[in-house]
Amino acid sequence: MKALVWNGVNKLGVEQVPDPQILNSGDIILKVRLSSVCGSDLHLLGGYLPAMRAGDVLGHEFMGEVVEVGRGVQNHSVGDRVVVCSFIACGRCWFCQHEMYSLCENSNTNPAITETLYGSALGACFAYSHALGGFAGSHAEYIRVPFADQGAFTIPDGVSDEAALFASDAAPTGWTGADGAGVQPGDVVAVWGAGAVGQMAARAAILMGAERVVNIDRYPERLRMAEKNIGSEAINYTETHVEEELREMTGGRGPDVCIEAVGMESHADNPMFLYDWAKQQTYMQSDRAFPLREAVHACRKGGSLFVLGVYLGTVDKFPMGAAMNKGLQIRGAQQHGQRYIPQILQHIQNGELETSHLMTHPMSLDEGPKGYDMFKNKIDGCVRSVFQLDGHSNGHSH
Amino acid sequence: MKAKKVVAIGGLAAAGGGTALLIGRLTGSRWAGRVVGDGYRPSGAATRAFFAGGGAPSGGRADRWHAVTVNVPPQEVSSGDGLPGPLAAMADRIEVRIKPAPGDRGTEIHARLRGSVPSGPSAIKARASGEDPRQDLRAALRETRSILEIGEVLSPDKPPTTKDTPGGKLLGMVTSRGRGEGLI
Ligand SMILES: NC(=O)c1ccc[n+]([C@@H]2O[C@H](COP(=O)([O-])OP(=O)(O)OC[C@H]3O[C@@H](n4cnc5c(N)ncnc54)[C@H](O)[C@@H]3O)[C@@H](O)[C@H]2O)c1
Ligand SMILES: [Zn+2]
Ligand SMILES: [Zn+2]
Repeated sequence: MKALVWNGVNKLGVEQVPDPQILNSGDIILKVRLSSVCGSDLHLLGGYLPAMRAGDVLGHEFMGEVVEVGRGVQNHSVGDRVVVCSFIACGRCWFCQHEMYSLCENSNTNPAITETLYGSALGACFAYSHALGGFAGSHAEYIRVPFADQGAFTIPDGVSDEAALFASDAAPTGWTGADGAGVQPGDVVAVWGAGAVGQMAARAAILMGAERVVNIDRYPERLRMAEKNIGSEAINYTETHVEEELREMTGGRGPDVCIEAVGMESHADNPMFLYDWAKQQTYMQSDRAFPLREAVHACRKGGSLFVLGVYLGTVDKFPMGAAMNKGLQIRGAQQHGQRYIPQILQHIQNGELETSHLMTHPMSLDEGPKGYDMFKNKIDGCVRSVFQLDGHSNGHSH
Repeated sequence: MKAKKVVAIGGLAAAGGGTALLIGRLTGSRWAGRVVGDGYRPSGAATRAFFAGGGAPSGGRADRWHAVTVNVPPQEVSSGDGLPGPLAAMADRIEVRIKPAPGDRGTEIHARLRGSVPSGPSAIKARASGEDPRQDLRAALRETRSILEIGEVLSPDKPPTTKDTPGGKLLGMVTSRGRGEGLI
């Protein structure tokens, strides 16, 4: 089959790879219809997460049609239209049973790498390097989905492919942040980043009853989306002083909840360095934890901070004094989608959650390398390049 | 620079982190970069940040107990005769203790190798060649947990889509023992 593969730092190729097979009883094979890029892929692309191998198929945000089911699968049959959580979880281990699905004990076939680095092993994620299992991704005609009864969700009628797609990763990540931060009615919530993840976190906070929600970014088109499609307010950090704005907005208190949806590749003034590893290095060591530090400082005392942006190793100059003395609650997680996807699909069906606007650039899989270039460099207002595989007709739900 | 790398490697090695040890050694050598797939230009910083992480705690008592906690009640772990899962095949080489975990956390399976285990430089060699008995034990513990919790052991994708570049092969060697290394 055809797939978009990683061939080295910032080297992508569209190539033929072997078809996936059913290997465990809970597997399904999905014919992919839509497969999106994600901010997390940029960390892989840039070589920040160095457990990749040439030939690894990318892509973890996807939906499609079931074409084969393993003998143990109960919830799905051939022909089902499903969206799949990017994290793979067994549903039975202690962590899954406590709804911490991304920490599953049985999904990561290479637990030693993260266990050695972090002290405990993480669960698996599609196409997120061999440290997270090395499972082939969704930028391909077909994909094997292990534990399909837990991770694949039938898309309700009336929810389009384009809308359901983002129930795979971006939306449940937003829900993981807002719910994990404990957003309450009346809260003021500040979200760093207005990418797909930041927008979804803001919408989750609004639906959980937050009084005011604001997205912080520098791309006007993303901030406009936040205002128009999400219903949040916008701060452009290149035009104003973020902390001053937030303090003014909250009567001097600071936001009750801060959500970091930027990650380790946070702001560079000039992000045009697709092939410039040296600049990436410099930039990584200076600015990369900037929004995290800003959030700690801006947060209301006794408030809560949730880190959704991906960090891999250590950060410099973390303001521990502010965090400790202000009594902040700090949490983070890879998304626990199995917990949130059903309610997200329900919100979409009810018209309470808009997601399809995130698909700014639909294109064919052959255009994959271009799609990543546009997304990485935020060219032409790109929020998500989405690869349409054969059989998908744009704009129709089935 | 050199000294720093050695410290990181030493720490990981002492903690029994054979996987990271392999990678750490290679990223610290003139082969740096190859291990992460072809095309990776070794920066040091990113790789160290990832593979050295916060630095695994040192330790490495050879006779210590290895353990996993499984999310099933004790009677399901030691039902009737013999040890559960792949631990059964190691029965004559290991001592096993099974006890309830506190709260709702299931059952702890502790296991220890009976004979002597490689130590010092021979341990590094044994790990690299996949001949350290602790690798078998760790894998058996993890696989036993999977069998008890979900009835099977999840297989990585086959056939792989990866290419056998020199660096890829090395990482592949490391991940082929993915369940046999780590800290448990
Ligand atoms: N926790 C999870 O499970 C999970 C899941 C998906 C994505 N992620 C992570 O979430 C992060 C965002 O993902 P995305 O897909 O939205 O990425 P994206 O690249 O589309 O968006 C990131 C946004 O952050 C903005 N930004 C950069 N520096 C900033 C700063 N100093 N202040 C405010 N905004 C700043 C950028 O302008 C950009 O719009 C990434 O790190 C990604 O890896 C985490
Ligand atoms: Zn993602
Ligand atoms: Zn699990």
